[in-house]
Amino acid sequence: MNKSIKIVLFFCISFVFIGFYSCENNQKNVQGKSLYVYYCANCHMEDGNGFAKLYPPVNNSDYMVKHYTDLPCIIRHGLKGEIMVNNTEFDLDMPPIPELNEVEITNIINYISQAWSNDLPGMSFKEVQERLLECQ
Amino acid sequence: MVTGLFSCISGNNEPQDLPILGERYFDGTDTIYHTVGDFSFFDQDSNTIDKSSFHGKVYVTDFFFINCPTICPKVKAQMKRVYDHFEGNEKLMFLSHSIDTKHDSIPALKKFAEKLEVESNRWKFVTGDKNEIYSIATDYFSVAKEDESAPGGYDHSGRLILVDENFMVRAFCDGTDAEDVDQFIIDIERLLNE
Repeated sequence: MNKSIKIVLFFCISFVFIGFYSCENNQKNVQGKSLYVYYCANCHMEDGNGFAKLYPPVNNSDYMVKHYTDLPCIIRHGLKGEIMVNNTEFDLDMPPIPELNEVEITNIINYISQAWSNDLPGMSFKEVQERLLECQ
Repeated sequence: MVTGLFSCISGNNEPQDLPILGERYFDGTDTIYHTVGDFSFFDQDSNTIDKSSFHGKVYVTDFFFINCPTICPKVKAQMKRVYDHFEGNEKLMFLSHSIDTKHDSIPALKKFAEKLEVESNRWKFVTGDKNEIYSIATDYFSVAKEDESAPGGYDHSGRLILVDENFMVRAFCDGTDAEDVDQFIIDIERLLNE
C-alpha cells in the first residue's frame, strides 16, 4: 500500500468515527442537557434528584410520569401550590421561564425523559406546540 | 527567646492557624482586627438572635432568600452538606440571613428549615430590619442588595463565611462550587482544632 492511500484511508476512518461520535452526542440531547443545567439544575440538581423536601425530583418522579403532558406548560409558566411527589409534599413556587422557545422546551423535555433512571417516551415539537396553546 | 524558638519549631510541625481576614491596625499596644458588628435579628422560632446567641461558638453564615430562582438552592445544598458533615458538633452553628424581608416571614423561614430537615438550635434562619441585614453582609465580606434587574429581585453572593468565637471572619468559599466547599470543610476543622 503506498503512502498516499494510507493517508486517505486514515482520514476516511477518522470521519467515520467522528460521525459516530456526533450521532452519540445527538442521542444524548446536548442542547436539552445544557438548557437543563442552566435553567433547571439550580433547584432540581444536575442528577435530577431535587433537594431535601424543598425542590422535588425530576428523576424517578411519579408526579412527572402522571403529569407528563403538562410539562410544556409547567416549564413555561411555572407551578404554584402544593404538589405530592413520591409521597412527599412540596410547596415552593416554581418560577416561570418565559424566555424559552418551543424548540428549547422540547429539547429539555426530551433530555429529562431519558436522563438518569428515567425512561419516558419523549415529546415531538408539534405536540409541545399544541400543549402550549392549551396552557391554563 | 527559648519559648519563641520553641513555638517556631512546633509551628513548623503543626498545621498553621487560619488567617484572620480583613483590615487591621495597630493601636499602639495591640493589633486590632476586623470583627463583625453588633446585630439583632429574629430566628424561625421568633427568638432574638444577636452576638450573645453565638457565645463560645464558631459559625457558618450566608445570605439567601426562599424564592431565589438562581444559586440559592445549590448553596443551601452545599451548606447542608457542611451541616451534615459536622453533625453532633455543638461548637459549630449555622446562620442564614434572608435578604427578602418582604416575603420571608418567620413562619415561612420555620417551614423552610423544617423542609430542609435541620435542627433549629444548630441552624438559625433570620429576618429583621432590611438595611441592618444588607449592612451586616458587608461585615462578612458578602454582598446583599435589592436589584430589580436581578433574577428574583435581589443581588447577592453565594459565599459561605466562617466566623470564629471572637466574631472574626476566618475563611469563606463559593457555595456553588463543591470542591471549594470541600476545602472550606477542612478550614472549619482547622478552626475547631485551634
